[in-house]
Formats: sequence, C-alpha cells, structure tokens
Amino acid sequence: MFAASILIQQIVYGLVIGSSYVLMAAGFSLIWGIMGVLNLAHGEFYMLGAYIAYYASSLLGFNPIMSAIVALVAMFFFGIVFERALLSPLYGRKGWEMSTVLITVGASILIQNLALVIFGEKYKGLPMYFEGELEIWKIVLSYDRLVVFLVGISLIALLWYLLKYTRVGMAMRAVSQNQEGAYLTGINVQKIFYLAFGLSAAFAAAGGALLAPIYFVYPTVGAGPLLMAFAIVIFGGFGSVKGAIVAGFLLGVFESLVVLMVSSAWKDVFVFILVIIVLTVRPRGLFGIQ
Amino acid sequence: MKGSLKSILLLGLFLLLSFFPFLFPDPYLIHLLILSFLFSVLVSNWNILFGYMGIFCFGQQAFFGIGAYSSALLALKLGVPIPLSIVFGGFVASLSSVLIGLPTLRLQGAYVALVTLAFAEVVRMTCSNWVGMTRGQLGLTVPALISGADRVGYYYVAFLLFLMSTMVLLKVMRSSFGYVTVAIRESQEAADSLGINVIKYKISAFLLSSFMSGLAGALYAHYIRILTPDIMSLPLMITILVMGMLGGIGTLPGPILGTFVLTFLSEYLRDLAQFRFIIYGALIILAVLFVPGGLVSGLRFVEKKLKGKRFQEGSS
Repeated sequence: MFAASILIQQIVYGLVIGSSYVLMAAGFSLIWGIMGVLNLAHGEFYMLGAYIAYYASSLLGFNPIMSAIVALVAMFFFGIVFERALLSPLYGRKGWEMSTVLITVGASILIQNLALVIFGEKYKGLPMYFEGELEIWKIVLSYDRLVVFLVGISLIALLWYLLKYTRVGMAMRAVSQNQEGAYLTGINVQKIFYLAFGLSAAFAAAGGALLAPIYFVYPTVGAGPLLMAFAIVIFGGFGSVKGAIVAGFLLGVFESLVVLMVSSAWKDVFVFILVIIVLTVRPRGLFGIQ
Repeated sequence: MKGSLKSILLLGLFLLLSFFPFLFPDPYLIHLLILSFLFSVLVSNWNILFGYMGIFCFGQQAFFGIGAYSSALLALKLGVPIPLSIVFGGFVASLSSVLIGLPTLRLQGAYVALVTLAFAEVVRMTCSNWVGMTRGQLGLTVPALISGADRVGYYYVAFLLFLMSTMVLLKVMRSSFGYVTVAIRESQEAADSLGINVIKYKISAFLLSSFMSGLAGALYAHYIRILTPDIMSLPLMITILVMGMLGGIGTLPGPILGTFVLTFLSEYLRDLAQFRFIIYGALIILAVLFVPGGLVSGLRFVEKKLKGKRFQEGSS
C-alpha cells in the first residue's frame, strides 16, 4: 500500500508533533491532579507561547530554542497571575468545579479575542531557522523538526525530573494525593497551587513556541491542542503525568497515520471518535485507576 | 399581593408579545425578537442539562445544527413539506442525543465536557467535509418556511415554539421530574441510593433538551435560509453559556432573561462587534466572581428588599 519509508516518515512526524502535545497535556493533567481544575484556557497558554516565540524570533532574531525559553519563562509568571486573580477567589466555594470550568471558559474567550484585536487574524509563519535536513535510511527530517523534537524531549525530561526528584515536585504530588494530609505536614498548599499553575502554563507555552516555526500562528491556534490535550489526558488517565507522556506520543502518531491514510481534514474526527469509544468502554480512561 | 402583581406583569408581557408585530411594525425589532425566541428555546433547554442536572454539556450547538441540517436536507433532497421536516429535525436531534447521552452516563464532570464538545466538533467537521451532501463550507440555500419577505409569520411560529418550550419546561420542572433532576445534580450517589433510576432521568433530559434545541435549529435554518457548518461552531456554545450565566443558570426565567438581554445588547453594540467576544469573556469572568446567580438572583434580591420594606411598613 505505502512504501515502508513513507510510513516510518509519518510515524517520525507523529512523534515530533507528539512531543509538543505531551508538553501541552502534561500541564493540563497536572492541574487537574493537583487542583481539581479543568482549565479550558489551557489552549490560550499555548497560543500566547506561540506568539511570544513568533515575536521573539521575528523582532529580536532569537533562534527557536531561545524563543521557546523566553515563552516558557514569561508564561510561568503569567500562569501565576492567572491563578491568583481568577482561581484563588473561588476556593472553597459551593459549586467549585462548575465555577472553575466557567471562569476558565471566560478567560479563554477573553484572551483569544484580545489576541485577535492585538495581533490580527492573519496567519503568521516563521521562516525555517535551521536550513537543511537530515536523511537516514530514506527518512527525511528537517533540522527544524529535529530541533523541536529534541527540545521537546528535554523539556519533558525536565518536567519529569521536577516532579519526581525535587522537594517542590514531591510537595505537588503530595497535594494531588491528599490535600488535607499535605497541609497537615506543613506544605503551603496555596503556594503549590500557583507554582503548579505557573508550570502548567509554562509548558503549554513551550509547546506552542516549539511548533510556531512548523505551523502557523493565529489567535485560535490553541483550540486544537486543547482538545488534543483533553484527548491525551483521557487516554492517559486524569492527573497522571506519566500517562500523558505515553498517550501524547501515541495520539501524535495516530493522527499522522490518519493524515497519511485518509486525509488531514478528517484527522480530528478520527481522534475524537476514538476518544468517545475509549470513554464508552473505559470511563476512567485507558490507564486511569482512581 | 405579591403573587398577583407578578402575574399581572407576566400577563401584560404576554399580551405585548402577542400583538407586538401590529403595535410596532418595525422589521428589525421583529427580527431581534424572533432570534430571542429561538435562542431562548436553545438556552433554556441546555439549562435543563447543565443547570438542573449538572451534566457539563458543551455540545448543545450540535443539536441545534443537527436539527437545522436534517430539516434542510429533508426538504431539499426528499421534498418533505417544510413544517414536517422541521419536526423531523427535532426528532433527528433527539436521536443523536441518545448517541452522545449514552457514553456520558457513566462519566463525570470533566469527561462529560470533553465528550460532548468532541461530539459537536465531529458533527461540525463531518458537515464541513461531506461536501457531496452538505456542500461543505459553501453552505446550503434553505427553502423558506413562509414565502414572501414578511417576518410576521415567522414571528408567530417562533413565538409559538417559545411558548411551547417554556410551558413544557415549566410543567416538567415543577413535577416530580424536576425535583429528581435537582437531586441528581446535588448528589448522584444519594439519588441512586434512594432508588432513583438516574440513567432513565438523564436520558429523558437529553431527549427533551435536544428535541427542543433541534426544533429551534430547524426553524432558524428556514428563517435565515443560509446554512453553513459554522452554525454549530464553538462560538455558538459560548453564546449559549454567556446567555445562561447572564440570566442565571439553574432557574427557569434566567436563560430567557439572559437571552433577551444579550440579543438586544449585542445588536445595539454592533459598532463594538470586534470587541463583542472580549465583552462576553469579561462578562463570564465577572459573573462567576461576583454574581454567580446572574440577573435572576439580582431581581430576587430586589424583590426580597421590596417585600421586607412592605412588611416593615405594614407592621409599623
């Protein structure tokens, strides 16, 4: 049907996109696990990250790696402000789950349309930064994509390290397991909340920044990745960062294969139908336990 | 005293709306009222799922769109008479809600939000990609329900649908069904343990809510007469959300009030069209932070104040 090389090529592309999805989904899952917040403005963090990278690169001439780091740092602080201003007033309220869903929807609409007014609706693209491509066994990978992949993997490793081996990471995991228990051992839960939110925003932004040179940047660019993050988190199980990593790469590859075998117009349809089927059979996701 | 004042107000409003096209034959106002009626039906019925049952439905726009497309296609391809095709539109939407209702039954909050949203996106993208049937983004030209340029006919059909939906919701929500739905929202486990068949109630709510939304969508399509897949894109869901929240989720008058206020407000703020969704976003945030109950809670507050005053006057 297809030459094996095309198939492998597409799988490699899927892994590249997958790395960005993982960055997006890991933070989304983290926030759910720690705070119990379904952050529907998460796609906007991705979009803002992409714009920051775009301007860092087109105005200041930064390379993609530097741009991604700038986006990551800037959005870390943005995330903290977001949590303090919009979510912290809601803690302990009746109907908290619904309030947080609604307020993040509101924030998403606000940020998206502010971006539309400020940045304009035109698609913005960046020229290739690293010319040329790598070729191994007939598989062609542009250096740009390779850089995206490597930076993505490094960031995922960094996040993993943060959560697993640092004191803050341990505190985060403690809060996600049992908030009251964590509080009793002297963990400042409020601080963990905004740090986690900052981290989540930072990694989503990095995902957006990394894909900016490959895809276009526009105000609604975050919607697709948000739904994808949702899908990934459902596959991986809500609150599980490990599950998000596995599922992110899997869905990235699945999407690429649908593009190859059907067409790119139908890729989201297939992904969503897959999600609905999985949830029908396993209401807690593929790896979800709870 | 209080009750009778309220019913006099309602009766006056009803009479005003009944004769509105003759009292104020302004086509633009009539157009806005038609839209308000149709969206009230949509938002009120979404509110049954979201506000009363606590089902995080983010896919209501799909029912609206499915109703619109089914009715338009039935009329165009099979030549079904339009009034009949509109009713069929409602049934098809209702049928589709079983498809999406069943997977959400065992799911909780966040999962439901995703599944319903994903469902709506699947429907929208299918309509957009299935060019042979729907002409995709080019859109369909839908035959008119009532020929001629006059809007008065549409006004009464929309008004009728609005009355019907409001009556049904009033009747249903004041029956035991209404109490059970609220019980399910407050605690599904508790409702379950009392022997309430939660699944049956949820499915019934889905069937009713989507049927009415489908009818509204179908009528909308035959009124506006141009139909593209954008009819069920996310901005419609956002609008539903803002209308509901503005008026007050989980109450019967809230969504109606919110819809009318927002429809007229956004038309008169046309010059600010560019900032419309910025304002919507800010409204949602402010409402959640400061007035979670919406306009209705504000009105109730005023009502209470008035009542308190009268009581004081009476006692002194």
